[in-house]
Amino acid sequence: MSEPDQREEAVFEAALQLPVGERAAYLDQTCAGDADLRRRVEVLLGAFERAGGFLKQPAVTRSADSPTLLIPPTEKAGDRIGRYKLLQQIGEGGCGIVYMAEQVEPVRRRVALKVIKLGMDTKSVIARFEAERQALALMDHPNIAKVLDAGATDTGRPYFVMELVHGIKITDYCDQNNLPTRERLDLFVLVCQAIQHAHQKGVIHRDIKPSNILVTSNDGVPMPKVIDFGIAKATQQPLTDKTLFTAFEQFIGTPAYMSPEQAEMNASGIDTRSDIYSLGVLLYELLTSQTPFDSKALLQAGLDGIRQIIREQEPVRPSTRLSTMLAGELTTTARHRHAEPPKLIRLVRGELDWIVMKAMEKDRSRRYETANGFAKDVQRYLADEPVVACPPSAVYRFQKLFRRNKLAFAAAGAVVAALLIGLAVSTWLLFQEKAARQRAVAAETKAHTEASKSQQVAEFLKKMIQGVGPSTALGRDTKMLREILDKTAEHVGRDLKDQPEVEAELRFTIGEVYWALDENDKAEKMHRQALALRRKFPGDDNALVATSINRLVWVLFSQGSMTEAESLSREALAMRRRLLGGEHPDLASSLNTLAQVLGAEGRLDEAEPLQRQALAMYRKLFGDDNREVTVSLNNLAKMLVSRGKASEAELLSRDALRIRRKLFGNEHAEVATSVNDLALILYHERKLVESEALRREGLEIRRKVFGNEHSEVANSLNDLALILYHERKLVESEALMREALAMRRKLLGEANRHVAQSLSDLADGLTQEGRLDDVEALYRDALSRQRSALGSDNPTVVATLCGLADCLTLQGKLEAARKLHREVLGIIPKLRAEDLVKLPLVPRRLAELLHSQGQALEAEKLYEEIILLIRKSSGESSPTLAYMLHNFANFLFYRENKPARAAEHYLNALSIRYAITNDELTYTLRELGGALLATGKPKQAEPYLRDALAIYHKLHREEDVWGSAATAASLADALYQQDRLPEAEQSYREALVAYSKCRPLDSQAYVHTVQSLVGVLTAGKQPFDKAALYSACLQGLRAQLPTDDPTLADVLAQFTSALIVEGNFTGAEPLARDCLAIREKKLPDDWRTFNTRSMVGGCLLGQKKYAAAEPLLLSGYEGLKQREDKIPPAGKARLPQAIQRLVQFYEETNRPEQAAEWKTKLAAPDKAQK
Amino acid sequence: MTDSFCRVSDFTRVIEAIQQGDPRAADQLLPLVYDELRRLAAAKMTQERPGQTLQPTALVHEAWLRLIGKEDAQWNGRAHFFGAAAEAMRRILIENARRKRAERHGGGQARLDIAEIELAAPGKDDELLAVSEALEKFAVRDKQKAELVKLRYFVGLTTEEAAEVLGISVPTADRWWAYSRAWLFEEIERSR
Repeated sequence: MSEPDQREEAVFEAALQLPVGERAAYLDQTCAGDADLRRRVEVLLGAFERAGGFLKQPAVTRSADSPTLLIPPTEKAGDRIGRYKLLQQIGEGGCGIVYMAEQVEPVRRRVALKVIKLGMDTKSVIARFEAERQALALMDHPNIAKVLDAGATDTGRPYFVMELVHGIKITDYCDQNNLPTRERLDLFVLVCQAIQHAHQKGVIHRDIKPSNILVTSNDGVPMPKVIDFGIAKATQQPLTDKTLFTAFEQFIGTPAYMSPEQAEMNASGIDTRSDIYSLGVLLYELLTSQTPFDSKALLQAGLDGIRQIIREQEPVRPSTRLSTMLAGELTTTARHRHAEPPKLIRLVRGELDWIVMKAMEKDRSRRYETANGFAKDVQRYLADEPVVACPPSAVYRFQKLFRRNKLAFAAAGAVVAALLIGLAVSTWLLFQEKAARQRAVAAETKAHTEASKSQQVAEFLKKMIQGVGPSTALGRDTKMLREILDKTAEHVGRDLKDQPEVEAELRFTIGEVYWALDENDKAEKMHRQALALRRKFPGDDNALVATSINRLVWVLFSQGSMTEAESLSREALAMRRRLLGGEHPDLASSLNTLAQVLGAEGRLDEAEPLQRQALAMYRKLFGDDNREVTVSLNNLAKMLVSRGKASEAELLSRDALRIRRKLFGNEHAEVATSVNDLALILYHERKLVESEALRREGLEIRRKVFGNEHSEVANSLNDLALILYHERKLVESEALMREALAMRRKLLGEANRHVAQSLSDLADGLTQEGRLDDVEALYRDALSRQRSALGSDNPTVVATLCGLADCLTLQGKLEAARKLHREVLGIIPKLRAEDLVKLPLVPRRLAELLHSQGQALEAEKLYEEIILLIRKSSGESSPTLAYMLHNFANFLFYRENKPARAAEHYLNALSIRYAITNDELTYTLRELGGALLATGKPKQAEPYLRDALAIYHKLHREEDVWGSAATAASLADALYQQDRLPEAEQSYREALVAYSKCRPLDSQAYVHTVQSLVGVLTAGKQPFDKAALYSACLQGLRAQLPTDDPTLADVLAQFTSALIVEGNFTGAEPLARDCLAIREKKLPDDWRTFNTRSMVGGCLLGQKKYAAAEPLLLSGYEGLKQREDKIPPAGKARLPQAIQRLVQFYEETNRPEQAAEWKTKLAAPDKAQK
Repeated sequence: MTDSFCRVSDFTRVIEAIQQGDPRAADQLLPLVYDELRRLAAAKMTQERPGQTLQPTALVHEAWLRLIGKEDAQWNGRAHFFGAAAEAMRRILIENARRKRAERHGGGQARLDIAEIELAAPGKDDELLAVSEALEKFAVRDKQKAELVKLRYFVGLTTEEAAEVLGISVPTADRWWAYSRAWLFEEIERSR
């Protein structure tokens, strides 16, 4: 704020304090000699007086009972809340502050008063409390603290009044008094009985945890009191996403005690057995001083992670927990229980383990049915009687597994048999382990043997599974492997739950194989579980944790969950930096991973340096000739291609290939991969000949390495076919595509996405060639294969139906196409929402055909019907719906020219996409902006376009630089239409820079934008030189494009025309000559080249350089004339223009006869046409 | 990804960067908060009964709690957050007002039937747009006071709350408010 402004403000404020009548005198005095200041203050004072209610009412409302923000709780000792006077704060917990308070009437007593923290809907909290009040009143038990009252404070927050308990939480009490395990169990039995009482009165506690069980000591006899009955229910709102944050808050206090069904966030599913679970956790903690799941780890897992862990992860048994503690920890824990560490472990192992695990069963039907039953079992243990809880027999379980899967096992080959042996061995060992336990071998020795045995099993299983892994690469049927993996995964979870190292190892391995099989969801689960287990291993930084994280990152990467992948890979990188110091292969690998993740997020400028670091580190560690170095080279090369640095990428990729050839010889799968990578880069650079040659080499290598029939061979066939197609070698291309398709069908089955891709690639190619009959045959064949393999109600079938409908539409078979369309509509409701996402459901072609036949309403109906169906089956906020709405809007906008209605649907799509925040959001924002512009609403269009542009800037995606260019251009249009010229100019310039990076260059859009910029500059006050602008633009383009790029010639031609029209022949001539040079080199036989010749001649003619002009004008005309039939309709005027130039030439050079002769030719083409 | 926790960490990262003096970080905060508010609003709209409206103040508060991931009223990223939230809310309200205008002016039978963010913003759209425009000029001149206006007008904070966010005393906030109102009123009058 400037100094005069400050003064103005000070004077204004001072004056405002004065009565109105005294202000003038004050201003006279204060502003003496500064008339300007006085005037400004007077204006402000006047405004203040006139302002009345201005701004008094915020633009937004806030209801009376909405929570107050920010202001810390105002209650303090001495305050009154209702009938209660606060005496002192005695506690603060996750959801509120507890005060000791005094009640005066009807009885004088001290109570505990708990004020719930912010963020609760007070009315409903109290309503829920009132609903349970009667039940609460029925409870009368010495170990239950009564809840007396509830209400709302003046600040609108709910509070509860309870019997005052002078106690400390049960776990603290036990530790402070070094209570031995048996006495802890006695205390626990009392707690169970209290809970049993409540359950009998119909009250579920829902929030049993140590801080809700206070222990007081009466003459040395401990007396537990369960507090907070009824409060959890009143304050736990139905756990939907709507109340996510409050739920989360409560979560934070207690996730460690939460039962799986509570974690489901399904309030209706909670019953008394949820309390049993929490009691089990409490017992676990009383025995081990730790909760089964670490609170901190739970919180780090995030909400979904918490749910998943609680629902799915088997906790380690209490005794295992004790035996895996760090020595110091274990000693402390044992000391608090008056025990020696080995003794404590032995004490807990066995029956107490089983009791706790039974209470904590995920499946509540397997828990104790009542709190009493739980208490009784504990009492049985105390009385040395056999307990009810026991581990299910491993042999029994194995038999069951075998019986259930006998068929599968019988059908399996050697691989499965081997795996089965692995499973059997592990089961057998578990059985042995149990026997050993019963024999009560000394804990330490046993733990050791156990670990080493299990390690062996794990190694064995790992080898087995890994041995199976490559069979996927061989393209064999993997169904069996998948089944076996599923079973193993299940088994691991049950049987290895007290051997976390082994379990983690196995889960990791299984995760790897799932990943290799493309089963990403399962791989994710496995890796997450392995990671969670490994995180619990001692030590902050742990090499295994970093490895686990890295694998999980790759899975998330495959799933596209980049945000989490990023934060995890950063964590792993930091961890490895701490563990490994400066240079290490694992560190390089972590750098590589993070770079790849960032790259996939489109943050290439951050990714590139990391990728280079990884490369440098590998090189330094291993020298040049190393496989990791080549991987890094390839990754960096791909990144550079995306950044438009193809030539450097090419060098790197060649380097990688050279190294691999040296390392592996010419016939090796990795060489084939490298060959293909280089081919792709060359393809980007439009070096098609070499790219084709490499593709052929890659195919040959793969045939030799993998045999003639293999999915990698099929991939190579397809890649080669695509490049041949681009080179217009259509016959061979088609043959290869058909070969790839047949091979994939055979190897992968009809439902596979590669098969679908082959099918649509082939169909697209044939469609482009206009061979619609062949496309139809192709689809019909596919359809009958798919139907017999998969049935009719199947997404693959729908995709094919859509393709066939498109094909029929293109053939003009309207009725047949509509019939298929209706068929698709019939299947949609039977498909899952996630299947719909990937399907090409947009009835674009059909709609366009109807539209072209004047049936616009019918066309719209197509979209409306399908939108209705998607709404029904996928809900109001599905990405499919957004996609369809967007496409409908496109149809309305571009085909029907109804921008206003289009905008409406874009907006609807937008509201969904805002919530999803995906890439498509920018498309919708951009098109919505465009539609609003088209309806003459530039001001409304502007914010959307700005939003879209902001996202483009943020994402920085080279692939969609066209989108960002188009958006910047539209924004510029919007600004131009609002007469905001300087801003428009800037935005046009931004668009030009972006357009200049598009490959291939969209010369039309580029030139159009330049012309708009010319418009802005012309409208502005500043004089400017058009030719100079053009040459600046060209300079920019030449920096980006090869000097002989044909699209550059297109731009040059457009600029030339624009200058010629203005009569600026001197400015036009060099541009025309440049253009001609490119076209003569690149398009020697194209009509445009000759048109350019004529234009160069025109430029010379305009400058009266007649001698030089004549040959160009003549040869230009001749060339055009010869290619007249090749000139598209849009270029038809070029030939007459060339003749016109000749007429002018002969007139100016005083040769009227020739001029007249050419004039007749000018009329001739018309006649010839008619 | 459906996970709001990642954005929590984004948010924390950005806030930390701001506090460490990274000038680019402030620019990253607004889109983050804006996204969060929109997402939250959209998520809520799909669950509210038709005809219900969202309360911006509560929305902002909720976004705050979600983004910090825990309740910690002392946390010092608050001023940055509320600053960004006020701006984000301003944009959202303006978009709404613009859209409503669009519907009035020949938008046809504009029945926007899903996930339209209906905020409890009964104020006059014209005033909203005018204030917003004037405020942009005011912010150039005095960023802090403009912030105060945004917090009170677009988020509905009370003087006390806004003062706490800005770290100023309540009397100062009152004085600023009087000056800002006069300035803005004059600006709007003059530009009409």
